[in-house]
Amino acid sequence: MFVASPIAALPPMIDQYLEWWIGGFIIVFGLFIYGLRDLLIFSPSRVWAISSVCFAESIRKRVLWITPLAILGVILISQFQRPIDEADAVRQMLKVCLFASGVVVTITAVILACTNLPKEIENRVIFTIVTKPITRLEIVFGKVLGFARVSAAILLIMGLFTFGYMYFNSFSLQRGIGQRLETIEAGAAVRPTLEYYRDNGLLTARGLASAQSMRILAREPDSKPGDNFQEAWILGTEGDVLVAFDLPPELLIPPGDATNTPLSAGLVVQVKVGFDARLAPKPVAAPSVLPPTIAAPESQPTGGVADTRIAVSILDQAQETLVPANVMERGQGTQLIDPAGNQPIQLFVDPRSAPNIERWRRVYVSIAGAAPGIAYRIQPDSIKLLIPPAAPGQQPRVIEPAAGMEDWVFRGRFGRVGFQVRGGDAAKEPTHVAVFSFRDAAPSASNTAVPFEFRCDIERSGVDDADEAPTKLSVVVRNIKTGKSSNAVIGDVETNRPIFFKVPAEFLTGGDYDVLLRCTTSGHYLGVSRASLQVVQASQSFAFNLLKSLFVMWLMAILVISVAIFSSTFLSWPIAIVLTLVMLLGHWGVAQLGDALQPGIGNQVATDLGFSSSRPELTVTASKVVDALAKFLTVSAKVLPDISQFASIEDLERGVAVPAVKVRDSLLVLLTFALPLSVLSYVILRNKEVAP
Amino acid sequence: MPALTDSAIHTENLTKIYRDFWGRDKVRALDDLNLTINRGEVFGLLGPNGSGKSTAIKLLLGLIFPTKGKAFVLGEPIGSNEVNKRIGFLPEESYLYRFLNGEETLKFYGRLFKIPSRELKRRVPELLDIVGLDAKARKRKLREYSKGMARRIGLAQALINNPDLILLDEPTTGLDPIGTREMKDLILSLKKQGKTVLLCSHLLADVQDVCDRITILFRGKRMELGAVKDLLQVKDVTQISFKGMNDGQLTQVKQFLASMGVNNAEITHPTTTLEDLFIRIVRENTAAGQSYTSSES
Repeated sequence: MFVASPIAALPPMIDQYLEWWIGGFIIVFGLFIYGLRDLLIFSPSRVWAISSVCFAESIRKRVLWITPLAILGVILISQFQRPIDEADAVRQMLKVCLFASGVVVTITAVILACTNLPKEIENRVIFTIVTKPITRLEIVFGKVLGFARVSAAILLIMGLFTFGYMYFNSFSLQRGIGQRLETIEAGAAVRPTLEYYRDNGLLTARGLASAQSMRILAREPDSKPGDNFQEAWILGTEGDVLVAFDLPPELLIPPGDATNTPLSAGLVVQVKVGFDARLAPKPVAAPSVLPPTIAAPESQPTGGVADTRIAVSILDQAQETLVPANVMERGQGTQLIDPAGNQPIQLFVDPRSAPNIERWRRVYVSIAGAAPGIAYRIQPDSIKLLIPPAAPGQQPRVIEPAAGMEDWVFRGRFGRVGFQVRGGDAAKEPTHVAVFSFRDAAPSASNTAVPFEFRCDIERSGVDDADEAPTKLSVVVRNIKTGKSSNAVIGDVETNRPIFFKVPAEFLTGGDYDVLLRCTTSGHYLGVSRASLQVVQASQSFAFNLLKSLFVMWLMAILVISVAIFSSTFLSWPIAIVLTLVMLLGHWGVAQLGDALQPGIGNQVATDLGFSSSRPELTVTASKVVDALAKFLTVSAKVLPDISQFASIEDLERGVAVPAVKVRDSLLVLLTFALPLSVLSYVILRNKEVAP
Repeated sequence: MPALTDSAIHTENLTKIYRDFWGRDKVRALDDLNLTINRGEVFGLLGPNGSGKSTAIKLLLGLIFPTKGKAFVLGEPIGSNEVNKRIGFLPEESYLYRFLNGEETLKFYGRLFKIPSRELKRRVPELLDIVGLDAKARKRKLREYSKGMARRIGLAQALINNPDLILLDEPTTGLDPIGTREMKDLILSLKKQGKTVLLCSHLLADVQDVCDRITILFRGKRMELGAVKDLLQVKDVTQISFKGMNDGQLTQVKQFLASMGVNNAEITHPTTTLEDLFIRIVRENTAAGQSYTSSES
């Protein structure tokens, strides 16, 4: 979600990379200016000596004994799991193993690193260290390295256990899959998924590629090869299309306007949309029980005449509504007359209705069908913006969309998860087709049949007996270059459980292809996003994937250690532990507050507390205090590490190869926060009297 | 005053004031200390509890920072890496890693000096021999050491780099009489090797035995400074001594002393003990009913 900058006064370049600027400043000043003398005599061998003592201390204090306890806990908890199938059993076991590893390594890192320095100062061991030819810089880095070695040892033990435990269990589970396949009939919907697990193993990680884009349409797109499709259909009340427009201020000045005031003569949205009402319910269907998220026009259809209205709205760059559909429609007709879409509808936007449009360099115009069951036809010339002239005799300025139709965003209705894909028989009732466009996503050459993984949420209308029926899926792959389409692959799908199906590799040749996905069960809706369908490009050994996941976990442990050592340079160890946890969880905590930190929250809180009516001056004060607090929290979150970047458990648990970009992002967070914090620790320690 | 390069330790108006949380002066632990310790001498730093001895040592080691004044160790500013390479420090208690054994401890400190492994292999057993830790003790964890053994390993770590200046804080604490004797012999041996030793001790007899010069601190100020033998002379009393005298001669001497004196008599000033000197200084500077520790601001 786009959040307005909390430090609006800062240039965007600084605001956007605030943590990099702060980290860079600390490193340059602390290390290259203040600590240059110590940097020049920096000795890795002394750092290693300090780290070895930290490591030896932890080992001899039997810190590693926590790992057998954790292993025992994992085995015990695994006994109480009730998986629904073999893949779920593996997923649950892996989750417990990795969760235990993460918890053990994090807690150990926090406690060891927070207590070490204060205790060395308290029992004065530090006397015999700092009186040797060692710099405080080497002491800090030595301690970070020492506890990083302890964390690595813990993760190594837990990793070896996880590998052995999972390997042993998956072996027996896979044998069970083989036995099940012998009893399942050939055409069973669950068979492709089981075959996939039998052939590839339950643990093998999949290298997945997501679609470049996803469109939710009412009909399958033109079958002609190529991206440059000429029409698309959206379903009334269950989807829209977003068209981007770039609006530099000079473009918004009406022709002939001497004052050069953007939008002084208003704005006109010109829409040309066709429609097909053949599958529309007659009479007008009752509103869906599902919550509509697309604003409907104020006036409602009166019945009798087919309702073919559209709803047009303007959204900002963050796709938040700037001018809602009811404001756009006010006093102007949006009823479509021409099914071919040659009759344009012009909607005048009064500048007073949209005073902020000129602030945004880019806006989106959303076109949605306002009548249920109607299929609306969108074409490349469906939408234009017009700037009316300020003086008579001048022509209006026409603003074309920022990109071609292939880049327009075709959305479905928002569901519990992602966009809804309406299910049913396409020949008899309005349905959706989700088009996943894969580009440059060729599978590995050795495959003759390429597996796809699909997972989604399922929502049911609650009408009839549809709830009881299994949710069926139909998938067709269409190659962009050749235009060839595969036979439909049918499968059953369940909420948030992966299913696998295979498509002959010939339809994926060249790596550019569309996957057309339908739900064929009436009354069922699939909740999908772009990442719901992925092609399995390659497989990766479980051991290597586990290693990557543990490595990311280790990087997080180093971050934890750096924060803990930083806290312990100026605080007693119990308070240092608290500060460490606050610093680590701060970013995540603020993210959980979400919209509560949006500008204007102060006013809202003051109103909710009832200050407005009783004491207006209190309203202003309360509003300012809350706004200041919100600003402080937002800025704090920007300079605190985002530990969500270290979340690799989910990938491993899903059997997905941990992407290299995740490792890179983790390293970047480590570089941005751990290094500056270590330098800060050094600066503090150098100025600290270590004799109590 | 000798040049900075000639002195092992040189302080100018070295002052340390401990402050409270609000930055207000709490204790003036060391007050304008001016001191020069020459290279190659064994110097005793004496004073009652709270007189500023430990503060002075901590300042010289860079463990705390002076409020005012300057100090130089081996001609370099205090706390620098160059200084630390050439000094050895035995703290008042052996503040060492208790989970390491004797050998590991020395190897660890040796690595901080970047002493090559081959050199360490030779030097570690040698040092352990010097301080009298046997083969069995070397493999035991320090937490299992007696107090005397801990002092010995502490001394060994202070000598790991073959330092030019050794600061010993209460080196004989916890040692038995033989250990104390050995420690004193070691200090004298270090002096013979040309090393400078700064000794801080409450055991005045030990200081008297080994120190060339001493200073006595009281409430952070320097009270006395000089050679031990000079400071211990009682200058207003004359002592006559001679040997080989029989009873008859003794009678005659007594008569002679009563009238004129003798030619072969050795006439010196008697010396007091360091303990007597120490107590006298403390008593003279303590007002009735006052504590003798550093003054609270």
